[in-house]
Amino acid sequence: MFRFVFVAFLLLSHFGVSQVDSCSFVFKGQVMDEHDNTSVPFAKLQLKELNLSVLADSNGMFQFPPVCAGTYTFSCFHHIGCEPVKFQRVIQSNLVEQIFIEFHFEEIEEVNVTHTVFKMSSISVEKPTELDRNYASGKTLGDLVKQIPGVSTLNTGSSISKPIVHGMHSNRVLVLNNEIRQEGQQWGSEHAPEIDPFLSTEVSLIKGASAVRYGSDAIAGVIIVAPKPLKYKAGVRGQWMGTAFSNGRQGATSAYLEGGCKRLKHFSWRAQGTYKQSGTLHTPRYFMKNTASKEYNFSLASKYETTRFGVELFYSQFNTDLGIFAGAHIGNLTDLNTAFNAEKPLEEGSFTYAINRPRQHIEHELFKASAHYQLNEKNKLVFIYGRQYNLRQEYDKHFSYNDSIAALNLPAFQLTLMTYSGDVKWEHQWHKNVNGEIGVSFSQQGNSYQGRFFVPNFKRRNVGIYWIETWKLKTFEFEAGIRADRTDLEVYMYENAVLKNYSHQFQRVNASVGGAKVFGHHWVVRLNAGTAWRPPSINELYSNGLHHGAAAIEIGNRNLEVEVSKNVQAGVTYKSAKSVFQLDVYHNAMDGFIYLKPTLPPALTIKGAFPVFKYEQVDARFSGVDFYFNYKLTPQVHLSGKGAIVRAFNSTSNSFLVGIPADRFEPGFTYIHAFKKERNLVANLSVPFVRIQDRVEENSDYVAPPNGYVLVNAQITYSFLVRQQECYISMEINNMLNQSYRDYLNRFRYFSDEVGRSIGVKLKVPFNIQKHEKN
Amino acid sequence: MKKIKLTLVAATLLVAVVACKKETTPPSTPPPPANEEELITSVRLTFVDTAGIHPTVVALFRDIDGPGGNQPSVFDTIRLKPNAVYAASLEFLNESVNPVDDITVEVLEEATDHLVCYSVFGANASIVRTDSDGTYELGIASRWTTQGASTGSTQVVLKHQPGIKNGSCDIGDSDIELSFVTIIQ
Repeated sequence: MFRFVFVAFLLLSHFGVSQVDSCSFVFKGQVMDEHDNTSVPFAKLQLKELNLSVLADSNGMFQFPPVCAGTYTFSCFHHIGCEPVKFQRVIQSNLVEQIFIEFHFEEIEEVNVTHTVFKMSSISVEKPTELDRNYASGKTLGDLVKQIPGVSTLNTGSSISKPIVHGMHSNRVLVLNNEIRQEGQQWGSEHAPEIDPFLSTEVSLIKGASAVRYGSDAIAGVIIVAPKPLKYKAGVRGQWMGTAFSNGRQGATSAYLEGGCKRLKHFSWRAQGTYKQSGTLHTPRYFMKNTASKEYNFSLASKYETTRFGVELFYSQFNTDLGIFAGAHIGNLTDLNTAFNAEKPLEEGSFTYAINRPRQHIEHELFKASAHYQLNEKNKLVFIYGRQYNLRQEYDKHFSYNDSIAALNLPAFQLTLMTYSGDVKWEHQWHKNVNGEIGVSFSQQGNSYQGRFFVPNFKRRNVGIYWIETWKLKTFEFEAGIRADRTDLEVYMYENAVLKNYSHQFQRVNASVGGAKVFGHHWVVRLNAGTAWRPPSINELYSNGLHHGAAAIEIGNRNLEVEVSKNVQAGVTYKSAKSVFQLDVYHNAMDGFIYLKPTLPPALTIKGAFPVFKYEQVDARFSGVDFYFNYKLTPQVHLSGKGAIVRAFNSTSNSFLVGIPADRFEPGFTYIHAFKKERNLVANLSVPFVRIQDRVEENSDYVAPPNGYVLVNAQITYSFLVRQQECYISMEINNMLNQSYRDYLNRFRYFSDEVGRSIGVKLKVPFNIQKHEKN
Repeated sequence: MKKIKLTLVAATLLVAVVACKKETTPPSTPPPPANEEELITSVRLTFVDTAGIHPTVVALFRDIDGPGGNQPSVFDTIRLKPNAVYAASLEFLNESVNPVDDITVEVLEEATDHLVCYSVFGANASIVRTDSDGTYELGIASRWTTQGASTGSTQVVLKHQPGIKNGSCDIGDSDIELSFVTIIQ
């Protein structure tokens, strides 16, 4: 099927479409920074042959006056003192293009900075740096997002990791994958987002409850991931990336091919695939039995885009098989206590690529069709349709006692979740300085299970409507948004062998306001406040039974109400030629914060007594600080640091909340050696410090939080250009000192140390298969 | 011209839709009645006096809906006579299905992967396993020797030790762990 679609794309891209000659062709577009995909303001563009030049506006938008068909040479002067970017284009129709500018470290040094232009935004949008992105490539999405200050990860073993933003995770962090809300079984702390990090390399984070546009339930923030945007360029090219790590003897290979055909202008396509495999992982002292995993993903994308109109089709599939660390799957509380007290896991493993029980099998499919139409200069319509299929199968350590059931090799339970979503947006400009967006979103979801009951079957329907306006002046911006949502939930379950049907309905309005102001040449101050809410999730309402991984009985509460967050945050950024500094503080007051409350007495079962936890609502507050800085001692030597502190309380009982990230600070040291001719050597050393989490109530956990730790990670990357494309080879050592440590946010910290030293090599090679004559 | 473009777009759309591997399943068909999965709901211990003097004693644990949900409906006390020797046999049952599924049979078939461990606290009784998987003891059958009158508890644990059984109770998963109040009088 893959091949067929690929061939179809190729065929489609070769159909000839001729153009009528005339002298009214407009070339326009936007100047973008290749590294972070933000617009570059006020660049000067020159058309050499006609000696025309235009200036891009503050958003990097430019437009040349109409020209005749022909081949032209363009230069883009993006910064004073920088070498212009030169390119040729064959103009035979109206052409819209994003011009990507790449800043090199040495180039920045040459710039005679007299005035630093800020990208000013009232909401705090953060992205990992290019260096951090390279470092995280080939690892999990969690590792990639973790590079942003204020984000940590909640891990289950070493292969499952999900992001924690401002101390919250799962249903409180919205993940937007390629413009579609990621819909898996997010409620589970051992359910990581099903996203291929090799494909979705564009990552940004909006912290706080200010993301009205994306949903009502972005209580801690929104993580936006997307593939690199498809842009029309004739020819066929691609990129291969390979990574290998010593720990687990793991390897990954990922490649994409993309292209466009000269004769079918505006049509571009991309096909991409990833394969990743890892064997048993090793802590400094022992192998962690059954920690092998594999992952295989692919995606296809195509886009047709003219000046005013565009359609895009996207399909991706994510599949993974994960071994669950054998020492963590326990029969009962006695086993759990034995595992806690053991110096090392009772069952020791040896190296293998085989994935045994207990294990998980996960599949996720995303199909997206989107279209946009520019009605006129001031109005644009966007339509997005999404379909997601999510399958999660969990295989217990045991086969069934009954041989005929065991022979079927069925999972202990499986959950199938289908989600259909539709979004319509109207982007508009009322006035020169006022832009806005009005949108409606709709989704319908169905969940069904097979095997052991954990959550019931349900149907959920959600309708949301929002309106945002932004007022932008030269040094000041103000944004306000409002949103209303309604969720209908229908639950079907058997109770004492009778089918019961329960309905829930949740609706509410939320809003956000924010402003940003530039002070002088170097400072931006941001302030924003907002509310967010989420309906209780299905497990919070209806789970009832033994949670095997946690050795606890979890009981849902059907009377839960919505959880409401009121959030305020303030940030300040300083930027100069030599240094960057950013500090954000926030306070999040939650009404009806849903959490698992330990309840007496323990439940007696055939496997012994288990502690009982019930979902309850309390008032809670989260506050904290995130910061980041980078200082250039010399053009070659940079010092950097990032850190985050979170404090969280249950204000109803005036006690600490559990599972909150410990304080962390990560200083870094970077040395950049620029050779002649665009060859770079970057060496980087980072030393994350993580303090012990001592803000926990006594006896609130099976085992006291582990001690703090310090790690040393190093990376060296050599990059060079081959035919204007960047290749790199990089080597890294993680946990260089082979330290034995445990992290408070790893659910398997009860049973095992974290992985030991791992040496990795990464290679990125772009290539051109079919090149059209210079265009 | 426009038509060609539209056709191309439509064709691509079609291909992409056809490429979707999974059929659309209708959302939420309610599941078949509960207990599709296998449960051990009940454990029965039967004590037969080897001397044939004292009456046979039966102790039962029963929790029809499995862990969580309703509390166990039966959890008997083991009441044995002092200074006697009992031959005890253990049964594991799934009583949530009709007919009742005797899981003891499966445990016996997989004897090399299982071990029953007994520990006595406070009561004057000693327990010895009297059956074997060929190499190691199994514990479905056991001999209980009682002494003076006393009260305490007996823990019965079924360990699942696939591929790792070595006669020790420390390894493997506990499929069953019950503490029966034990009275010798």
